[in-house]
Order: sequence, then structure tokens, then C-alpha cells
Amino acid sequence: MWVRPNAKPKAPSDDTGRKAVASAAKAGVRWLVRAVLVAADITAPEIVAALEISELLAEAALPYIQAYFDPPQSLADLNAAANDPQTGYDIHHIVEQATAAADGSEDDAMRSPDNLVRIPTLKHWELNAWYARSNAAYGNLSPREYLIGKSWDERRLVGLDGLQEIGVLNGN
Amino acid sequence: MAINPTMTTAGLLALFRANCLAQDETYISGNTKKYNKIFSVNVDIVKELASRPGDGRRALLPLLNDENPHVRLQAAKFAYPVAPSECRACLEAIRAAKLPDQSLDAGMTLRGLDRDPRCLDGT
Repeated sequence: MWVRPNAKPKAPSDDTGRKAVASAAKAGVRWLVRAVLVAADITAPEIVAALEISELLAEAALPYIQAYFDPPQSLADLNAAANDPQTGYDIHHIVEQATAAADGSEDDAMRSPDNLVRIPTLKHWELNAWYARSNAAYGNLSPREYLIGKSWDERRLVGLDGLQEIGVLNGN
Repeated sequence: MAINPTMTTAGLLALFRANCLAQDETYISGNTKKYNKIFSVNVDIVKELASRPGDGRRALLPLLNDENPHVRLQAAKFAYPVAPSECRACLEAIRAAKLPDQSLDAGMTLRGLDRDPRCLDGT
């Protein structure tokens, strides 16, 4: 989304408009990260300053992009950070809420500090998208569909694998 | 979508690659519904290839060198049962490249293969 400096965009008044703006902003930030990683092959947040983006978007996007380049941390540190929400980060459930037992028997475990980690928002989007996309390695289902009904341990293993593969959790 | 069995292997490959490129666009748009719809078509393409004499999935192997990482990723996953060594090498290269989205998928696939070497045999 390109916005002239000093131009103050008005917030859309209806839900559809707000969703459209949110979707455009999300796509814009994802595009920026991709451009930085793929085209420039530079893995430092300072590159953001060189991008010709509007002051407004840069200011809004910078915390998200800086967070994206955080080094991997221990699970204990990620768990502890879940108690300290920050702009640029989301609280993520290691065992996905979408796979919770329908009878509510896993609700306490889902909410337990052991299952919560603070991770960069953009990586959260990336993980969520991976869980939602059909995948040949999961019987042509999405991992989320595949994991419904599987044991807690199996779902947690996939959750921890994902955090390692995405560069959030130490151990890869 | 039923795949026309009279399509040539080259035609199927071209369609598979075009579909992968369309899927790649959805990484930016976040349109998962479109991604999954295209995925189903590619599953049908690969099933048609697999049914051809000599297992036509080997025809996917040139796509392991495609310029687009999503094309490489999908080709490696679908051709894995017929060429595991080449496809594993491709997946490892994509994982090492640390690309948004595709490296996560490649890495998770490799972890899946380490635990269940037949996890990509489902097509």
C-alpha cells in the first residue's frame, strides 16, 4: 500500500473496508519481507531504510520487519516472552487451537504457559499459512486438517518443528 | 477438475508449472482457498502422470531446476517417490536458502520424511 507522506488516510467505516485495508497492508508487509530476502539477499533490518516506501508505511511496518529478523531463542525464553506482548509479535499456541478436542478436554493445556510462545507476527502468519495449505506430505490435506484427532504429543512435535524451521526456536 | 487423459506429458507439465506459479502468487495475497484449489488440480495432474507407462512422474524432474522456488518445491514433493535422492537434494537446497514460505515447507517435509520415509507416497 503506497501512501503519500503527510497524507493521513481515513479509517474505513465499514467492516469490508477495514478488512480490505488490513489485507492490503498484510500483503504489503509480506511483499517487503520477500523483497528484502529474495531480491536483495540481505538479512539485516537496516535494509528497510533503503527501500523507497512511504514514511507512514515504514513507521508502521518497521517493528514487524525488525522482529522478523530476531535470532532463534530457547523455548523457555519464548514461553516467558508470551507474558510480555510487544508490537511486531503475536502470542502463538504451539499446539494449534484449531486442532483442540471438540469436547473442551484440552482447553486448559491449550492455555497453559507451556503451550504459549511470543513469536514475530510475520512468522506467525507464515506458520498459519503453512498449516492451512494442502500438502503432499500430509496425505494431500492441510497439516491442520491432518493433525485434528492426533495425539497431543504428535501435534506438539509438529508445532516445535515449525518453530525451529521458521527460525524462531533454537535447535535446528 | 478431471484431467484430460489425451493431454501430452509436455502439456501436463506446462499446466503443472503454470499452476505452481499461480500458487506462488498466493503467498503474497494470502489466498489459501485459491492455493488449495490449485493444489487439487496438480494432484490430478500427478496422478495422470503416474498412470502413464514407466511412471510419468519422472517427467517432473526437469522442474527441480526451475527458476521459481515454488515450482521446484512442488516438483520435488510430487516426484519424490520416483527419484528420492534428487528430490531430497532439491528440498535441502530450498530449506538452506531460507526463503519465506518455501523453506519452511521444504524443512517440514524433510522432517516428515525422516520420521516416515513414505509420507510423500500418497499421490
